[in-house]
Amino acid sequence: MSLEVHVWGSAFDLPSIDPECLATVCLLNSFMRSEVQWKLIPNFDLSFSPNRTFPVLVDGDQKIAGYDRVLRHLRNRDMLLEPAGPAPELDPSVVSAFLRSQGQQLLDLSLYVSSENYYESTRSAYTKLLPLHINYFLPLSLRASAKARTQHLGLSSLDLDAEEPSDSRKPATNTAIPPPTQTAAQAGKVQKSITSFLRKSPHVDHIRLDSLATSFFDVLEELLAKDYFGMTNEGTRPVDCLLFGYLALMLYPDVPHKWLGDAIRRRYPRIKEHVEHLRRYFLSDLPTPPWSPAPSRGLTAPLYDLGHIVKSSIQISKPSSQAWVGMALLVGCLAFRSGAGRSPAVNYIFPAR
Amino acid sequence: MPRHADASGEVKPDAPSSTLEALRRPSVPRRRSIFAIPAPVKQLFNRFPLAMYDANELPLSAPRSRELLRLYVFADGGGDGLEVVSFNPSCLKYQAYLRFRNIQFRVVSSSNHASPSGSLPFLLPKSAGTSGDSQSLDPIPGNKLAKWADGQESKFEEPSDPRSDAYMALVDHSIRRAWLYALYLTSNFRSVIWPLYILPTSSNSLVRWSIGYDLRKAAEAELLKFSPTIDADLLYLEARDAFESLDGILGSDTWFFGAKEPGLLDAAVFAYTNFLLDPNYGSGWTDDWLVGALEGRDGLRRHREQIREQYFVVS
Repeated sequence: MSLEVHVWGSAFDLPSIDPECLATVCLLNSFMRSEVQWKLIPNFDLSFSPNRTFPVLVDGDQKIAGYDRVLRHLRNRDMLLEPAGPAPELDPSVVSAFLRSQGQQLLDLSLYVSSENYYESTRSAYTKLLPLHINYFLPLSLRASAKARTQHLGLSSLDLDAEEPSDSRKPATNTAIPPPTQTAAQAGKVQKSITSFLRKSPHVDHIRLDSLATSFFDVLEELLAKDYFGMTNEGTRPVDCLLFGYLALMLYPDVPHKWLGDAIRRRYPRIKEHVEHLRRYFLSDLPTPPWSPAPSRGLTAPLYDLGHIVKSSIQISKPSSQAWVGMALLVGCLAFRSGAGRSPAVNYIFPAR
Repeated sequence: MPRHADASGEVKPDAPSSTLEALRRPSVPRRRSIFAIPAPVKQLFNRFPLAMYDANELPLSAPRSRELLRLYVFADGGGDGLEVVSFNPSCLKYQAYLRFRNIQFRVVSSSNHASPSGSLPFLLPKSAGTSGDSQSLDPIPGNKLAKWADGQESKFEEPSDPRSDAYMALVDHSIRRAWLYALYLTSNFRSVIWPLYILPTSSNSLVRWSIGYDLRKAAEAELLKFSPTIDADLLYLEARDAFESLDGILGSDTWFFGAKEPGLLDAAVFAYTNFLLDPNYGSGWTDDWLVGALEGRDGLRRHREQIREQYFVVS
């Protein structure tokens, strides 16, 4: 029996654009027992997945979504050939929680929230993966969720699309009122030049970004140095796949604003070395994973997609759609009122004087 | 611009132009904006204020004396004593941590509305005499409390272990999300969260309903940030694994990583285990799957009892 594994497609010279999918590709390619038949399928249709994420493992009738569940399922079916030897000192669940809580934030900021990187690299990477109609809304919704995840960090200046920099750290008192001698046109000019300065400057909020990256990489570097991952044991372990998934997407994408990759390259040689070692192992030493083409879409697919687009675009533009509904109701009420004055039924109830 | 057409139909500009003349004038008097205040009015208003009244008195509920630090948390009642234990994990984390650092403070039962940042806990520093600078009197929000405590003079060796941060992510990510699901999105909301957080805020049932709705929505939004759907089973499995590995790393030690004194991780873990292992909060757990995740974690039970005995006085 053959297993199918559906993942996000390849980008940035890596097998997948998503850290968890990348981890899954590495996991299957290095630990799957040789007698198990399996194939990788690049996919983009989130409705295929039971919980709207990739990777999805299709095992007979079962669909299993998410790296953790896939790993559990493969272990239960005894399909993985994991290295023997003492377990690493650091529990794999600790590493995955650490990567998902802190690593994910950094990836979000680097690939999705930062306008430069998103428009120059990430979006074009998705354009190569997605058909036109899905490319219209899916990257946008991924970016919206990345923004939601990093909102509490107060790094909104990275996102130059925000209509006004809504800085939550700003004190309530408004001290930025222009002096009275300044005319409105001048004030507008000042604001414009600040925005253009932000557009030019790649080092907006650099200090805060740097401290975020430092707090993540410092811990990782020290954990690597003290060998809490159990690197010196036999070969790689499943937890290395997840580590590679996140760190490779930090280090390798060729984005215009490379603060994250540069931080690793300049200050954390041990992390860089380890990721490069894993890359050689997972992507060069091992045979290429068995990719197959994306499943063909039936004739009804376009119709289905249309419904999907409408649903998703309503989800994305929630506030504005609410505004439209409100507007429509208002117009309706006004029309009703103006019409009601002339309606005979109403005139009958309230006779004119 | 007015122009004259002569007989030939040619158009000539006015000569000499009045605007050009104006520009050539040696000194142009500064133009006054029509919004500028006229001089007599300005002089009149310069005399104000004619009299200054004293500042209004503080409300009766405001702290009168600030000799003691005041920690604002979600709790049943407040006091100087050690018997008040917050029922909110992020509040209890810092309450326990400040106790570990042997810092004297008074616990004040409060709500989000009291906080300058909109969230609890926060610490109100004591006034350093009458002429204390205003900087040192600013409230310290929860996320800066650990750093603030480092600046205090107390002989305390924070146990430093690189694994501590990774395990902290386990508490803040896996356990917290399972907690959000278990308390806000199951029947526990009605039996635990409702009496603890919502009943004290208002006696109006509409207001209560609205706050309850907002809380549930906020918890749901928080969970949906990390996955497009809420997978309760996976949250439970992650929490169970998290407690298992915390229990494993604690082993037979008193504190995490064999430290001599408890640290921030001890406080963070205690903040959750204390609540989960106490069946008396609210009107009791109606859905105890998260409590079940602590089943058989004797190390964590012992850890909780140790902290309660040593740093809190609870009956």
